[in-house]
Amino acid sequence: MTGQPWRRRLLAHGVFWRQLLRWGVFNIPPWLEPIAIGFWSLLFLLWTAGRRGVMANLAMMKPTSTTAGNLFRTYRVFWNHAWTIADNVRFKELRTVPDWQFLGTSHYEALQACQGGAIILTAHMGSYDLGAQLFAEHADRRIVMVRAPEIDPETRRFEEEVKDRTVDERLQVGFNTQASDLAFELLDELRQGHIIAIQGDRVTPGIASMNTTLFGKTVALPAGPFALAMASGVPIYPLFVVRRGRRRYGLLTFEPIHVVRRSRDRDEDMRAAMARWTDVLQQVGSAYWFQWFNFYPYAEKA
Amino acid sequence: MTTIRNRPEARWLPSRFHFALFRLYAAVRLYTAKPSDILPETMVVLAVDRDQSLEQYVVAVWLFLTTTAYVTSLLPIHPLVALPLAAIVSPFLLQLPTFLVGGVILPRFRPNHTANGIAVMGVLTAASLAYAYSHRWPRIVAFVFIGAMASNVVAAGVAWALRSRIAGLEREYLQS
Repeated sequence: MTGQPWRRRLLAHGVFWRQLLRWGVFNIPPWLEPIAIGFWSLLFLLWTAGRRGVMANLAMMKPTSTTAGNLFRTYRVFWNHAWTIADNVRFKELRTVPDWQFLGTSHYEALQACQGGAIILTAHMGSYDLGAQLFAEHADRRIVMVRAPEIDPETRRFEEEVKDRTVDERLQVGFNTQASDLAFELLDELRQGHIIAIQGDRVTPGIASMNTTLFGKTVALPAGPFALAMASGVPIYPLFVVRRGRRRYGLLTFEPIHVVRRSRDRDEDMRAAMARWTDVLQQVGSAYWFQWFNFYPYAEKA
Repeated sequence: MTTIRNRPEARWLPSRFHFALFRLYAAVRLYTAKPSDILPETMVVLAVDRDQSLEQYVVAVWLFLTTTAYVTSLLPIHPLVALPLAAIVSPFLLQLPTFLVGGVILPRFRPNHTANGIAVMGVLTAASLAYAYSHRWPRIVAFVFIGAMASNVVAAGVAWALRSRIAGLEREYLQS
C-alpha cells in the first residue's frame, strides 16, 4: 500500500494535526498555550464542514441567535475543543492532571460502588477521553469505551500507537463499526461487572437508533445503550466531563436511568428511558453549548 | 502528581504558580485565605503543578499585546490599519522561536518547554531593548516589558529569601 498523499494529511481529520498537537504539548511553554490555541482555533474556522455543522446546531439550539453571533460562538466551540484535546494529549504524554470538581457526588460514588456492571452515557462534550482515563485509573474494574473509529486510516494508526503506549490497560476501546458483533461483547463485559462508556448524542451509520426530541427537533439517538441496559439489567449513569476553565474540569453525574421491561412493547419501555436521557442531554447542552463538539448537524433543519 | 481534596483555598498554593511575582502574590493570598465551604454533592480535587493557574492567561495576554505593539509600529501603514493585521500575525510570530528550537534543534517529542520559553523570552527581551533605545512609540511598551522582567527577578530573590516560610505555609495543605 502506498503512503498517504500529503494533501490528505492536512485535511481536518488528517494525521498532521494530531502530530502538530503532540509536538505542541511537548514544546509550547504553558504561558504561550493560550496564544497558540487561539491562533490555531482561528485557523480551524476555515474547516467549512465543521464550521457549518456547529453553526447549524447553534441556530437550532438558540433560535433567536444571529449568524454573526453564532460565528463567534462557533469560534468559542473550536477554542474549547482545542483545549480539551490538548489537555487529553498532555495527560497521556506528560501525566499532567487537571483540577476536578465533581457534581452529583452521591451518584458518582454509587457508580463506583455498584457491584454489577454499569453503563456511562455521555456526549461529545468536554473531555470524554480524559474522564474515561482518569476513571479507569481509580476504578477497580475494566472500562470499555465505545467510539467511532477515526475516518482517516493514518490517523487511526497514529491514535492506536499512542493508545498502546500511554493508556491504562484497564481502559479498553471498542469501535462501533459492526454493531451486532460489539453488542455481544459489551453484554458480556456488563455481565462480568465491568463498565461501558458510550457517547449517546450522535448516530453513526449502521448503529441502531431511536427517534426522540432534542431542542425541539426530531433527532435519532443511539438505541444501543438502552437495549444493553434492558438486556443486562444494569443502570445507565448520565455522566459528562465538562471544561470549566484552564486545566479545570467538572464531572457531572446524574441520577441513574433504569431501563425496565414494564410492558409488552419493548420499544415503548426504551423510549421512556431515552426521553429521560434526552432531558439530561438538553439540560447539559443548554448550559455547556460551547463544549458540544458535534461538528455535524444533529437534526435536519425545518 | 500531588492532589489536594476539598480545600478550594489551596488554589493559592505558590507551587501552582510559575513566575516569582505570581508565586509571591499567591503566598500572600494563601496566608490570608479562610477555609471555603464545599457545597453539598460536590467534591473539589486540585492538582499541585506549577503551570496550573490562570497566571498563564495573564502572561499570554501581556506578551500578545507587547508583540502586537511592536509589529504595528514596524508595518509601513497607518496604525489603525496595521493594528488588526498585527493582532493576527503576532500569535504566529510568537510561536516561531519554538518551531526553530523545538522543531529543528532539539528532539521534537521531548519536553522542551524551558528551552523554548527561553528562546521566546529572549527574542522579546532583545526586541524590547531595541525599542527602549529607540524613539518610536512602543518605547513605553518596551519599558513595561523590561520593568516586569526586572520585577520578576527581584521577586525571585524575595521568594528565595522567604522559601522556608512559604514551604511551611504549603506544608499544612500538602500533608492533609
